[in-house]
Amino acid sequence: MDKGSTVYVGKPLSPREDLALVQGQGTYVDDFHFAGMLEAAFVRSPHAHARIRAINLDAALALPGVCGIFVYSDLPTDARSFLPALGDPSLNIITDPILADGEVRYVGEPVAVVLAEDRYVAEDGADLVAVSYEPLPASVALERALDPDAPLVHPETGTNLVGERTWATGDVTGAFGNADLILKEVLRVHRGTSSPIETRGIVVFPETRTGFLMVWASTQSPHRVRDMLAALLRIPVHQIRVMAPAVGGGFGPKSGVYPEDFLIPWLAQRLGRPVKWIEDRREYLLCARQERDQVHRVEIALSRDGRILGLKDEFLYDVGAYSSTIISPWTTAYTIPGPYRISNLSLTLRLAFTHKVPTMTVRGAGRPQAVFVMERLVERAARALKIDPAEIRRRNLITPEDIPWDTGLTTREGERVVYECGNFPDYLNRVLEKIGYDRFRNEKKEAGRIRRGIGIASYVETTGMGPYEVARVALDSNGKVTVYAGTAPQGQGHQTVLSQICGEELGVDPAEIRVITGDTAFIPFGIGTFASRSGVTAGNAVSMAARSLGRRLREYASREFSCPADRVFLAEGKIHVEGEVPHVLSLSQFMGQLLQHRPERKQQIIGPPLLEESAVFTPDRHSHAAGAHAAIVEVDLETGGVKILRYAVVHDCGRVLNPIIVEGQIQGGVVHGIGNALLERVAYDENGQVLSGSFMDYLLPTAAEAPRVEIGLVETPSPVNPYGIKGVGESGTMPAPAVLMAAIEDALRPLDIFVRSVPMSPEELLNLIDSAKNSVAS
Amino acid sequence: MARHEIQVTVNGVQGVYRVEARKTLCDFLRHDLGLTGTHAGCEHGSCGACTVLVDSVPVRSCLMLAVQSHGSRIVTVEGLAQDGKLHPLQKAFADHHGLQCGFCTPGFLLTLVYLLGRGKRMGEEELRRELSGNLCRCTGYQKIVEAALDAQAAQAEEKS
Repeated sequence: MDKGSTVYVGKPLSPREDLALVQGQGTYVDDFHFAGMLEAAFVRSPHAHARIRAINLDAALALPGVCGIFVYSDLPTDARSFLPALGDPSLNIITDPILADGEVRYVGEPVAVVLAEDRYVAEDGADLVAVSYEPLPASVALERALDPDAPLVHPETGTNLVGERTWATGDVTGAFGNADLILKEVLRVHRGTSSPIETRGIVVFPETRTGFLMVWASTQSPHRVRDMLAALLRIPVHQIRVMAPAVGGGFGPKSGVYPEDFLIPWLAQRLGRPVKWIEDRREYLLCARQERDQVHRVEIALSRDGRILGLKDEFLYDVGAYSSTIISPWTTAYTIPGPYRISNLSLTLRLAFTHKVPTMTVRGAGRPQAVFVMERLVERAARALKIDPAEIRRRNLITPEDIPWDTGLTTREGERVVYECGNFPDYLNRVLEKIGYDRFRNEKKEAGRIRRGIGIASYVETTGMGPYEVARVALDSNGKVTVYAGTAPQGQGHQTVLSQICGEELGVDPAEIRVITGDTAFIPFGIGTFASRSGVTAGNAVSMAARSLGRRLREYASREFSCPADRVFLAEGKIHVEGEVPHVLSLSQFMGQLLQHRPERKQQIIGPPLLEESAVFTPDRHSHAAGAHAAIVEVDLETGGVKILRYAVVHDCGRVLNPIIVEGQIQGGVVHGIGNALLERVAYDENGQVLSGSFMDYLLPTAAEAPRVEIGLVETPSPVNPYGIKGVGESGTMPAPAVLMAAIEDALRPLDIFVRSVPMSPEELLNLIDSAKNSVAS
Repeated sequence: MARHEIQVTVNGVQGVYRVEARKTLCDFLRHDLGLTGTHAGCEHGSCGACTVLVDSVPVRSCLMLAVQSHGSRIVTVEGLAQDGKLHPLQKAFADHHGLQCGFCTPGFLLTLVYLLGRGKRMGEEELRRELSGNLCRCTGYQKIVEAALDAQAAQAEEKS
């Protein structure tokens, strides 16, 4: 489809979801309430590692209003832990027990669940549950987790090593042998949380007569929740309906299934009463899956003129206490070379158990770490070789002539990572122009307390992962169009963009099209909304289904009015028949005609009235979004405070479905990345105690820290899917830490500061400034 | 547990209710009155999602007990639209896509109703500082700020 010819796709329609939400009319999981409903509260481990000696429930059970307390031994013997994920036999996969199985392995691990008539009483009951623990030594620091004397998280396995994986391409030894310069670094990215403003939660209504379970969950993947429940509760899939109602943000961790997602439905089923659990913020910060902990020991080989000859990286990933949700480190590996022409690469990944909350995905999911590592190295090389940071990037960026570019790396699923399109030098040049790079370089800089600096970074994001997504488009008896999709948005505007795509194919105003997502009753299969995949996968699925429906409509009309199908057009919600006698019918009139009882037409019925089409889009390859960011910051030498003065983004997400939504995704992503760069740190003490259990300790960026993000969109449709879409949800987050660290260092020049770890707090920055000053003085 | 009688006016409707002393204003509004537009995001006064107006002043309803609101007038997001017409701030948020998931939105709106109600014109930097008690994880704040500045400009125009 040629961009100029679209009526709805690509247009800046105001997201239709917003109108209800500004009136407080979104229905989130905690807004469901049923008569006779019980509420749950959890008893959670206060220790990172301990043996449970005894649990005494007497006092709690005696509390009026408490209706039941359940521990590990109460669980059905065949549903005491999650089923192991399919897949990698080379990994040591240990799934979470649904409740602690006699030992606790991270602070916050669920030990018991208390049900009561309301949440206040449930929490009182949880306080009265007396658990006697025998604390055991904990393995906390990632870099010591594989030491021979490290306490083992799962002693039965004999090691904290979950697994190891290597990638290699080209001739790395040769490249390092021919290098003019080899730089070695140890780079660290610390743990963060996703912290949507709505925590997790689940409400279950059991229909006791039929055994049917209605489940509302704050999830990014209702089908995963349903399938897990069907497997563990051993009831047929059709007897479980999981709905993601309005979801107050996700950003990764809500795409997994958790012990609570089994426990609450199981209890509702067992007790025959509705049950609700809403996570509180402390629980979220303790127990919702986290991500980002990685340590990279990396070497880069360069020629004198700044060309990257090869790269070696041995990196370590913190799995946490259970290993069923490892996703990100694979993504890190194939994202490392980014937009650079690096033909000789060797990567080694080692995964380690620690006594910390298990890790999964946080917006970016392994990619921000890769961009941080690569861009830090490029920056370091620029400095060592005295080449301008923009220039050294230009010398190494893959050019349009190199495309398709085969990175030589593969995804976890074994797909070769090949960049199918993109103009990386162009993105960099555009962002430099946008931020006024040359002008800034030529300005005279202040020498006082407040210093200004500029930083840049380039990136490529692998988007639109499979395995598939499903859509169904139906025309009802009133001529109204409904789209059903297997995705489960949390603010990404799917109702708007999917209606734009459907409207385009059927010639119907998107405002007239209903879109239903996140409901397993309406669509039997779905994957969900994460990994910058929904636009690509659901977008293409909707276009395919709508196109088939349009084809059938035209066929029917051509039969009805005896004119060739190519003289039938769909536009403005009407069927236009340009036959010998022209006809214009609204879809509602057409459906009326179709559904009419017409005995005289028995032999020539125009077609079955069930006008609906389903489509499954299975991407055979990822699409690659890419771009470049630049920022100007101000650093206060006395406080270590960093203020972002300007932040510019040039991003190519392929065909833009709705620029308002794309901008919102990028702006939000960038600010999450700023949090990762400067503020957000999940902190543990040496015993594995969590020090960041509130929003006073775990800092999210506020409006005061967030810059105005200046965005330039480039549209290079991806050839790997029919609609040319590339994902956009995570791109903003990926380069922000790299950009800001480069800008901070630039601001502090001539002090020779090189940031090797994020987040960078004011205190840590002051320490770097002090040691740089001392090294100048000495 | 003992219940206490309180008299409050919520969105213009006066009522007498019996609540436990420990019940937060947020839970009272959400669960006793069914006004679920007020959202609990952190329950420790940091995120601002539960912000409502108590006697015209923004209050974190997770940190105030319902009994403490006795005798006061409360406005929640449900009370912003009048006669089916959106409040200008609601309209500005919808026009500017000043939200994504919508969970923090009611808190931002009520904070802004107060800020704009002071009649003191704020520049972007001041506005951002004033909004720093409300967390949003989706938008990066830009479209929220744009919506608020637009609503402020419209308000100034109306007055002149």
